[in-house]
Amino acid sequence: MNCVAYCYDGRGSTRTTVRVNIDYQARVIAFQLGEEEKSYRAIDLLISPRLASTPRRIETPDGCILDVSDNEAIDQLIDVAEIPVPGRWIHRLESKFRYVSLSIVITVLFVWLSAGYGIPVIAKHVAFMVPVTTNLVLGEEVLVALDKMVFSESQLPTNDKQKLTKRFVSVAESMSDDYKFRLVFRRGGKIGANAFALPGGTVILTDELVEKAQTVSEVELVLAHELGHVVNRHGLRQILQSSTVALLIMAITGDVSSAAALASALPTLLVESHYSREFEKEADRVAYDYAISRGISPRHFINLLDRLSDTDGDLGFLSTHPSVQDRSKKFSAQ
Amino acid sequence: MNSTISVTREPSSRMPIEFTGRGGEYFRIWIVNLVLTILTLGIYSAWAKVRTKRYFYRNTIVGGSPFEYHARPIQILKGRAIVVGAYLAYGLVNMVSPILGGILILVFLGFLPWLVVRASVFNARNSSWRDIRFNFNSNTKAEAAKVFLLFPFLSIFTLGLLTPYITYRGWRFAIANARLGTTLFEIHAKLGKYYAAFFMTLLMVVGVSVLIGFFVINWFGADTFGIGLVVALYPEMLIVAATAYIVVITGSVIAYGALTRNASLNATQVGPYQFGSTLHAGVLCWIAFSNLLAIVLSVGLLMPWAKVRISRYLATNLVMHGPSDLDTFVQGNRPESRALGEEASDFFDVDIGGV
Repeated sequence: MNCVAYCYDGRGSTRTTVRVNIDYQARVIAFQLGEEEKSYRAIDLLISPRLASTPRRIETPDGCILDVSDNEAIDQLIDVAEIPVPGRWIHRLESKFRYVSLSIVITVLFVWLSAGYGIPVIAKHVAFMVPVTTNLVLGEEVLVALDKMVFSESQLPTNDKQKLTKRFVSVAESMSDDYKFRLVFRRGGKIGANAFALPGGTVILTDELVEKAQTVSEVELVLAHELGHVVNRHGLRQILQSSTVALLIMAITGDVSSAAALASALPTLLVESHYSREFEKEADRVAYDYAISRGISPRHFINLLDRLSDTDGDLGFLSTHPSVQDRSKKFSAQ
Repeated sequence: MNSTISVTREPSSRMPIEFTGRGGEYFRIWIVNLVLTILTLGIYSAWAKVRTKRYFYRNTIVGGSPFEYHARPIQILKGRAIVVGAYLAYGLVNMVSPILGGILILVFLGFLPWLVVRASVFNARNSSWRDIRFNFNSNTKAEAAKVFLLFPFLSIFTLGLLTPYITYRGWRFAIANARLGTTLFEIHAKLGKYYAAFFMTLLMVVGVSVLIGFFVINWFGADTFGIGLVVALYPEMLIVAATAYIVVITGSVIAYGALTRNASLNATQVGPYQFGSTLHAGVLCWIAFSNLLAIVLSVGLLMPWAKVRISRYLATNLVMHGPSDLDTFVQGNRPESRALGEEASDFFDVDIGGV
C-alpha cells in the first residue's frame, strides 16, 4: 500500500514529499529520499497517537520525521505490527458516538452532584474537623471595617440592651460553649434592620431591627438563628465551598482568561446563592429547635420576617435567602 | 523515480496561515478530556492539556506544514500541582489573616518575572514547525521584571497613559526573544501606533458612554430631575446601564487588543519572512460577544465551537510574505538545546495571555 507523506530531516526546514510504501506482511515501510532508499521495520517507528484527522507524526530511528495524512493506513500498520502507541484508546473514545454521549452525561451529572451535594458535604466535614479556634480568627476585621463604613453607635436605651443581652446569654448557653459569644449593638444606617454573626461568635444587632420587633421573643429567635450560623460554622464552610467551586470551574473551562471568567459568572452566582439559602435553612432549624425547647412559639420568628420582608422583592434563584413563604411553611410543618 | 517535488522560487509570495480545526471534532476531544479529568480526580488534566494543545497546533498550517507540540504531560502535571498547592496555601493563609494573604500575593508577584520567562522558554522549546524547534532567550528576567512588574506599577501613577508603552514592550518581549531554530524573530514596531490604538479606543468608549447617557436622559426626561432620581425611580435602569458599561469596556479592551496585535505582527519578521495581520476590531468584538452568549446559553457545551471559531479567525487574518519554498530555517545546535530543555524540566506550565 502506498501513501504520500512529507519528510523533514530535523536539521533544516526543507520539506520533501515522499511516497511511502507500507508492506503489511513484512511489517516494513520504505520510501525514497533523494538518492537514498530508506527502509524501516514498523516496530522501530515512533508513531504519535491518532488525534482527530490531523496528520500522523512518525519518527524513524535515524531521525527522519514523516507527516502522514492517511490515518487509516497507519492505524492498520499499528494493528498488524503491534506497535506500542501510548494513549491510542483515547481516539476510540472520541470517535464513538456512545462514548461521547456517555461523557456528556457523566460530566453533567458530576458537575450537578458535586456542586449540589459533594462540595457542601465535604466542606461541612472539613469545617468540623479543624479546631474551633480557627473560627475565632475568621472575619474579626469585618466588624472594624463595617464600623468605619456604615455603622454608627447604637441609640437604644440601656434598659433594652440589657434585656436583650440577657436573652442572648440564654440562647448562647443552649449552644456549644467553645465560641466567644458576644452581642454588640449598632445603628445600621444604610444596612437598616438586620443582624449578622461573625464566625467567632460575635452577633451584631442593628437598632432598626430591634425597633421593628414587637416582642423580645422575636429578637431572641433572630439571635438563635444567627448563632445557628455560628455553631454550624457557616463562615468557614462558605469559604471552603467558594474556593472549591472556583477550582472546579477552572478545571472545567481549563483556563482563567477573562472570557471564561465572564461566562462562568452567572453559574457561580447561582451556585453561591444556593449555598447561602441552604445555610439560612440550617440556621432557621436551630432557631426553631431553640424556640420549641424554651416553649416559645416559632411564629414569633416568622412574624418578624414578614414585617421585614415587606420591602424586598423576591429574586428567586439569585436570592441569598429562602422566601419568607418558604421559611414560614418549614416552620409550620416541623 | 524521483518523488521530490521541485518548487519554483518566487521573489516574494503571500502565504496565508490556515486553521483546519472543526468545532464538532474538537468537542469530542474536549468532552473526553473533561470526563477523564473528572474520573482521575484532575490528574488527567495534564494529558488533556497536551492533547488540546496538539489539536490546535496540528491544525495550524503554514506553508502546508502543521506545528507540533512536544511537552510531556508529566512536566505539566508537576507545574499544575505547584499552582494548585500555592492556591490552596493562599486560601488558607488568607482565611486566617487577609494581611498575611496580601503579603503572600506580593511574594507570588516577586516570582512573576521568573515565571513568565520560564513559561515562555517551556512553550517555545516544546513547539516546532517542520521539526525545527522554537526557542526563547532565557536570559530575560530583568526585562520581564520591567515589563510585567515595574511598568504596570508605575502605570498606576500615570492615569493609564503608560498602558500603550507596556503593550509595546510586552509584544517586544514576546517576539524579539523568540527564535525558530537559529533564526531570530525581529520586531520593528513604532510606539506611536500603540498610542494611536489607545486613544482611538478611548475616544470610542467616551463617545459610546455619552451616547448611552444621552439616551437615558432623553428617554426618562431626567433633564429636570437629574440622574439620581431616574435611578431611584427605575432601579432596573442601573442594571441596564451597568451591563452596557461592562459591554463597552470589554469591547474596547478587545478592540485595543486587535489593533495592537496588528501593529505588532505587521512589524514582525523572521528571517526573510514578513508577517501581516489584518484583524478587524469590530469583527473580533462580534465574535467574542456572540461566543460568550453561545457559551452561556449552551451551559458551556458550545465552548469548543467558540474556541475553534476564534482560532480560525485569528489564523486566517495572519499571513507571511517571503520566498515560498520556506526551507531557509535550520535547527543549529540541536543536541545542546535539547539538553538544556531537559535540565530545566521543572517548569511551570502557565499560559500567558493570548500571544
